[in-house]
Amino acid sequence: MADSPEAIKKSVKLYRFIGLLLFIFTGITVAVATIPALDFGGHGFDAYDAVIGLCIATFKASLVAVIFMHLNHEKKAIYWIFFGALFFGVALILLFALAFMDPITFDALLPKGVGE
Amino acid sequence: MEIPYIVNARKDTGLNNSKIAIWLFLASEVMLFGGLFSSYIFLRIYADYPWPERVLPVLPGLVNTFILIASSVTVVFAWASLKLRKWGAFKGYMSFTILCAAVFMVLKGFEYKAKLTHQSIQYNDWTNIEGHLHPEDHGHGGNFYVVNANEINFDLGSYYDPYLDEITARIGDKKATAAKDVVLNVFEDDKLIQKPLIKAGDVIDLEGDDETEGSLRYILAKAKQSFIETRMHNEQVRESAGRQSWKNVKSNEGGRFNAVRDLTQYDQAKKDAVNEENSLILEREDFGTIVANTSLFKIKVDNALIKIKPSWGRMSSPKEGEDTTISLLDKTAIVGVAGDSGMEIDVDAVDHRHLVMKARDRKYSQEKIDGMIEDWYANLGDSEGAAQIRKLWGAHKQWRSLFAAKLKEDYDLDEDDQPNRVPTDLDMYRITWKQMVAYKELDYNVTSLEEVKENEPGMIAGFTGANHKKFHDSFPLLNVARHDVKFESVFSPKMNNYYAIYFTITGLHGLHVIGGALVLAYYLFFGRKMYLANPEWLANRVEVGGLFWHFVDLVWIFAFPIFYLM
Repeated sequence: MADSPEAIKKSVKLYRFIGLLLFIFTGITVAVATIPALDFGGHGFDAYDAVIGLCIATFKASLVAVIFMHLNHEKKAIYWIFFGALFFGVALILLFALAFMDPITFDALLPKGVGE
Repeated sequence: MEIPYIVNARKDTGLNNSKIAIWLFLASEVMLFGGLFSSYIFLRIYADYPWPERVLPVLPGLVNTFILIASSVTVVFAWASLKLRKWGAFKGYMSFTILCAAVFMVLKGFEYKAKLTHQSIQYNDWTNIEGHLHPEDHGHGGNFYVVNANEINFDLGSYYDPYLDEITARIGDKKATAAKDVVLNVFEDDKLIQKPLIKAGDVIDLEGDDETEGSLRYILAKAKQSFIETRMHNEQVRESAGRQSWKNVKSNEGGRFNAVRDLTQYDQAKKDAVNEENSLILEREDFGTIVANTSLFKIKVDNALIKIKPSWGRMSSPKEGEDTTISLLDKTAIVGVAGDSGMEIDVDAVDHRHLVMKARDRKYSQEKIDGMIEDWYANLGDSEGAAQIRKLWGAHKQWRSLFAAKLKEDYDLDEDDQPNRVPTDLDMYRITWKQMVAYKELDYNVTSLEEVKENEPGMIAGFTGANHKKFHDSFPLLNVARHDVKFESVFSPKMNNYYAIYFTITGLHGLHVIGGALVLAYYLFFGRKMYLANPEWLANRVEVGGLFWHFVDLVWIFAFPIFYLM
């Protein structure tokens, strides 16, 4: 942990820069969702927009976690606690994949034309 | 005893207590919100209705994102100020952080209020209209089942006082009479005495309380007491009759079916107990017979206009002029002739996507679907508002064909000569409030897309959604007949799963904002003593509070795009 006054002053500059980055990327998220010229994939909301939006959000969240929450220089115990929980958190989010393993509703979820 | 490692780190972990505690707490929070976001994905994948994508006004969410990011920066600045021993700077940054939290919650409040005062009505053909419902004091506004009642049936076992109060208030000065004689069953020393309470045709006082003789509440209270006592009496009669018949079986069948006697062969004590119980029953054999009773009390009223909130029950036939019954949740039945239960609504959006979705499920042709939509407009009636909605639909059809042409021009055709990009169902089948304003400005004649864009209200005018104050004339007034309505709701969790998960996640997040702000405010207002004792102590605490605050920001970083942009 940066404890000397010089190191703190240096990290304050970093915090300011990260804050600016977060603002910029928030702007980008909104821009790709609302400006037609920046609409990836087909017209309107689709999988491309979902992936792009979530990637930007994940990047922003990582900045907050790594810099603001000091995960870039933390003690081992914290890594075990946080990443252990994150593993289960992500596993929970990905639970929906199990739905696709259900043979009864599987067909209904496939895109049209697949498996016919 | 002094608690170790409050300020200084433990040698083996390199951490102090509060640091490890907050990370354990954040770990549980990660899994909590992970589960909630997982529910969101499930609900969206399996939604059997058009998912309301990109329907929330973006600006409040965007402003709130900026506010939370700014407060995340200032909370870490506040921590750095303490590390540098600058108390004044700490106070400034921390005050700004808490101010941000307050502004966030105020904006959230505006958003929630806009949702909870915004109504959606689904027609029987799955067409949705949205708008502002006129309040009750405005003509025949409000959302009520209306009946000209001539008979009300109260269930003595379950009538609910607030419903009773509402009904009697609505009957007002109209005359109410008892429909049948009411006789009370009173049991004194196990002997039945019958006391007449009220005769058919007697006038009932609707206002008195349950101690005023002759009042409705008095009659209901007495009849309820008698009903309960009669039931208890009958229970006892049935029970002793049952025991007697079992005894008869026992003696007639020579014990073949008698499990009790088989058991008692091995247990004399139990046998004695059973015999004693049987003798008690024998003594009570002359207890009496089953007494007829009713669980209902019926009154007749002279054509009283009664309005009931739909959430209190269901109306059997809501078409005006038809015989109908409103059955309330407390089993009260109001019988009469249906009045005008229509809803007056200033329409700010028309959405046929659900209709289109259902029709496609049934493999209807596009012509048939278009015809169904046209039918909806044709059946709206002759009112001014209906004519305005038809004009809006005409303008929208012009707009969407212009839009389809533009997409074709901009993005060309693919190798199968199909356009690369086509308007989405949202473009095709939903008239938004901004389009309504623009179409009205253009006098319902759309000749270019640019004109529409220019006349659409900006982000500020529609900060929390349709702006009824400014653009009142653009929103047609429609009187929706109740028998056309399949479902109606404000934009609350009742509306659909989207709003349920929206309110769950944003509400829980809002509670985190409030909780975090309270903790940070505690350090700001009561941290001076800690700071003077040991500045590092307060710095550690602020770091821990800050960690929680960053997590709150982190959740919003995901919630914002998921709810507002996808």
